[in-house]
Amino acid sequence: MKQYLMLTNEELKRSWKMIVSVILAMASIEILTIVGRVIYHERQVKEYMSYAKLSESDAIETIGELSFQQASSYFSYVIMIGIVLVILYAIQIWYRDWLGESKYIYRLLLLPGSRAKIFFAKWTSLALVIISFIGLQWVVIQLSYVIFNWLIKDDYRASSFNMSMALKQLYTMNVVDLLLIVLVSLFVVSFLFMLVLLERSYRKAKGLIFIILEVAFLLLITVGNMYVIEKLDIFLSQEISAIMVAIFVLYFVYTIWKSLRLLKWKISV
Amino acid sequence: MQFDQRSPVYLQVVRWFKEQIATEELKCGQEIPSRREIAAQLGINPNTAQKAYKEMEDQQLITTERNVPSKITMDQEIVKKVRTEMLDEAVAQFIEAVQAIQIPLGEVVTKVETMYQSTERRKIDA
Amino acid sequence: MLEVHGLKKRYGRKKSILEGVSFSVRPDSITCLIGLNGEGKSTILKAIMGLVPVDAGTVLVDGEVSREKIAFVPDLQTMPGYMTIGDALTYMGDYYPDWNSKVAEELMGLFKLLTTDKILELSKGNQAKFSLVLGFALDRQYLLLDEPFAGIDLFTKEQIAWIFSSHYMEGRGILMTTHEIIEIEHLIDRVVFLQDGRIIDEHDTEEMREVYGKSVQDRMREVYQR
Repeated sequence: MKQYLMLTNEELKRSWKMIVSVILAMASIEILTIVGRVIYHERQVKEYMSYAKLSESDAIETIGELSFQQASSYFSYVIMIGIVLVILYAIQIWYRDWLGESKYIYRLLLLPGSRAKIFFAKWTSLALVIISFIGLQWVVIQLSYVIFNWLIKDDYRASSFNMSMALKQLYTMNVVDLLLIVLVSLFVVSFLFMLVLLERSYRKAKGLIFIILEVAFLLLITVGNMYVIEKLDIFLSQEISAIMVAIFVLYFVYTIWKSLRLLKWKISV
Repeated sequence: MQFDQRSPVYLQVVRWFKEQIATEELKCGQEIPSRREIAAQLGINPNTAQKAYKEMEDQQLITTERNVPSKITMDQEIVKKVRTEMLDEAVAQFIEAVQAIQIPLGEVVTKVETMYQSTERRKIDA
Repeated sequence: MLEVHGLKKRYGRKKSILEGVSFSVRPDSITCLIGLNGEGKSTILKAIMGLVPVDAGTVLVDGEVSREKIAFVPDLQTMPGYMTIGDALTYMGDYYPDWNSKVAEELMGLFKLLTTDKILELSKGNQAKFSLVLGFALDRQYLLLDEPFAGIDLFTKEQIAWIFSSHYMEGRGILMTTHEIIEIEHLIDRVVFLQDGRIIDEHDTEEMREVYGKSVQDRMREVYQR
């Protein structure tokens, strides 16, 4: 347990500069887009006023008021980039130990005790990054909402706006939904870890075949599930989601079990 | 110490001791370094040092009692034997070399005397 | 006794690396695994440590399947690049219950290594010395060294060879791989020759010298040039 915590700390120590700079960059990009959208909107109105020789309120009416939803519409792209970066990190966190200047994987695999701690240290690092990513996103949205209100003139703002709605659209505040997001992310991380470990265990052609098999298997159970559920059409929606969740939890457990086995018996430096 | 890689290292170590015993650099009853020390000093594997000491004990060149450093034998006879043995060995080698080029004994002896004396003189000068 | 029984390993369908390798390493001795490059010497060490899976074979330490008594020094750096020597030593102390910080400190002094130096910025010779510190400062009976002298200049080689004649060797069984034996021949107790994934010859070095009047180098030439 102690070794697991130390290893997690070690993993985070190795990437915190990268993580912090990415998170800061994302936050500043998001806030800048809010500011940019407000300024751009105002300029549009002004330009239209002088072009069509209209009063300010007429111009706003033609062009439209700016809502927070509109102003923050770029956020989803930034979040997409964030997801891609998390996926890359999940892959990099393993490969750097093999391909870096020093071959830290030797040390890790040689550490006394079970190798499971190596897996869980990396897994926990990812979990912490994902949770802080979600948390930060929440803070940035609150903050940019305040900035938006402070920056924009009252006349320019779409009045029928309600904070919780905006957040709901971008972001769920529902605890169950949030948990689900975290769970799905961790599932994706575990799945990626398993694929990486398959490749690191079997390499080349054999590794590729195993990876394709696992991906196909995952697709099969997903599509198969949906098909069966739709076809039979006898479940209540709650039961459907319960079954879906159960199957994915099972698969989730499988990916971790498989990864640990690979790490113990099949992995190759 | 430079080792001949074609003959056993432990015997080379034994020989190195014998030379020192013959020249009385190591005197009767004198303590010698521990196996550990000699290994480090000569840059050999401690096992080899162990084997060399064992060999020297078997040949009664050194005596080892429990918990005290090994000592050179007190037995003068053995020291004498080492001297003779080394001389025999050297002369035998020399004779072999000389016989190979077929030089008569008289000439060899004269040469040996003059060369031996001049090297001795050079040693003293230096 | 460290015993290796019937190690087999192949990569893909065609390339066979080890074809049933068996040998043993006595405690208190230096055994040298000799082979040309690419003969699978490193693979054997990695297989012993469980760093590569094998298709068949077992490794026993005093009759048990356990790696707890074996330390391994690969011929590359295993500590993360940002660490200094000091960080790495602390790391070892944190993770290994059998880390001997006293020995580590002594060896650091003897090898003239500085704790403030970054590992990846060390010269090749100092990297090799540092790797040896990591191996010897673990209180483990067996120590596997992969090419400890590879790519090192003669002077440094002598400095490193010193450790094999020191008291740090006491009670330790060493298994090292090498393809250049010249300067360390006199230190080795036993040689195991490897070719095409098989052991083709095995000798006690002193016996080889005594009975055949041959050096390891002589025997190497005979073995690999026939």
